[in-house]
Amino acid sequence: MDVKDSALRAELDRRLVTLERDESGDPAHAPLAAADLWLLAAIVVALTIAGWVMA
Amino acid sequence: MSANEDVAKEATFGSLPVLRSERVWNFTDFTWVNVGLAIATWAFLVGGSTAALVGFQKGLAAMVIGNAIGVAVMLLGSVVSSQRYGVEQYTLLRSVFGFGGVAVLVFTVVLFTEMGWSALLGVMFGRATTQVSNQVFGTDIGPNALPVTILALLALAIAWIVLAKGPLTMRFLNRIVSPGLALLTVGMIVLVLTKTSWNDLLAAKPLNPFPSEGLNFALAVEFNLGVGLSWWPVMGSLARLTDRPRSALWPGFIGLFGATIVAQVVGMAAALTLGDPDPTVWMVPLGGKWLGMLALLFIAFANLTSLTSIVYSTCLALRQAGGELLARFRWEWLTGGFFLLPAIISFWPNLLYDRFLVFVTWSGAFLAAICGTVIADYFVVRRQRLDLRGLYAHRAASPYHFTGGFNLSGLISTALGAVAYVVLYNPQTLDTLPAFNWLTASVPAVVVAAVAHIVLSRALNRRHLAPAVAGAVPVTTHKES
Repeated sequence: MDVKDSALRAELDRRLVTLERDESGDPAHAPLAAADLWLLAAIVVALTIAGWVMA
Repeated sequence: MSANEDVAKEATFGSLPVLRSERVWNFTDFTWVNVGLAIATWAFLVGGSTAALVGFQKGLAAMVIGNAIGVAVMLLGSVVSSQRYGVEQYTLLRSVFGFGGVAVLVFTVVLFTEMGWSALLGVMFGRATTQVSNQVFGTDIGPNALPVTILALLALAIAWIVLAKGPLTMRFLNRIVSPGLALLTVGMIVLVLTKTSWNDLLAAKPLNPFPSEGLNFALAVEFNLGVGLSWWPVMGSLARLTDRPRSALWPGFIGLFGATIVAQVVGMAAALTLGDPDPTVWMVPLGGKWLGMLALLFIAFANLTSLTSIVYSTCLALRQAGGELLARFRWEWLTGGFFLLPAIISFWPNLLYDRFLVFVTWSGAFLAAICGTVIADYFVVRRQRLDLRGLYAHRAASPYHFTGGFNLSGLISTALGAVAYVVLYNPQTLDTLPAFNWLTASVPAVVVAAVAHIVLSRALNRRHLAPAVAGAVPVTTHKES
């Protein structure tokens, strides 16, 4: 992206302001929950063990 | 809107954060996007190459282990941050590698990996169409003959023309190809099961194994790890359009692990049944002359759409990482330049196609190290908080400018991870350490890169690590769970 392009900077600023003003607290911006991370880790471990047993 | 305007719009405004109204994919939508991505012709090639090393049961085990770990690491290294901030991954990577560091990675690892995939798909197009010629006209064109090269060059030329017409043409082609490939996969399952019994499939010997059984299995796992990691260059740009963190992570895993495994297993079963790892050889023996030819023509066509998708996303990344210099290049010249190396490789059709394992594991060495560094940076060093304004600030005004635009911590850590990989398993010489059979090479590469980045960040970048709160957009002040 050309950061010196004035049209682009204007659009960027518009988006950042909109994010700040209208999307505060929107669940789209929530961090990934720790429960999802642990569940993913558990599934990967279970699949890895299943694979080793199968092999 | 002309193709050039269309592309220019996506190449420039596409790097900006998306707003809520532009996040068009929910959980179900993104699941279908990933299933469509996963069922591609290269999944058959992966299945065939796995069958070269191990039999059906061990092959299935290697696919499950390799894809589960590879896809999970890849998702954590790309989609999570892109989804939260609504920003494509090459912009977000500035916090990990610096502005210049991202350009280094895009112009080396990403560019050469995607050029390799393009060359592979071109040759696959050439081999599929020469197989059709052999059936219809009774020709006897070998897999590495000159007509394969000529047809591979034709595929690259057609892909270039489609790209020049812009993304709308590509989206139209993809709508035909994704359901068609799903249908082809189901058809292959039925045909394979009519050609062989379950017991014969389980008893089938690997096609071209090394003497050590343990090494064959470890190589098959490593190969599939590389396949899982190979989604990394394109996933972040897609995930930014999803509406929730869960809508990005789980559909990615369901599609790229679940659907990939199905297509790969079908490919492996076909390869073991017919005794050849090359998908272009299977179709006529499986489906008969006319059905086989139809399948081959469809595979050739599907390769064209995969080719255009790869080159499109890579050239957009090149434009975004290349700054003002590449922004001046006409889209047609940029994409044309990209095809130069794949075109040269096409003169040696077996160079990558018959060394698919070597190619995938080499790219896996770097992608594993990159993912390790990115995961450590996002989850540990920055605790899922980035300064969104800072990602777009000009040079020294950005907190991600680091040392002259390069985050030495990120780059050194990635290099160390890749070195750890090559020490454990050298894809070129196939030399391995005993630990490779248990640890693989990708997993240690991820761990080494991650630990190195955490340590080096504390040592080198103390002033860049302040929490991104002041003046930040709400995504950085959202209540943490």
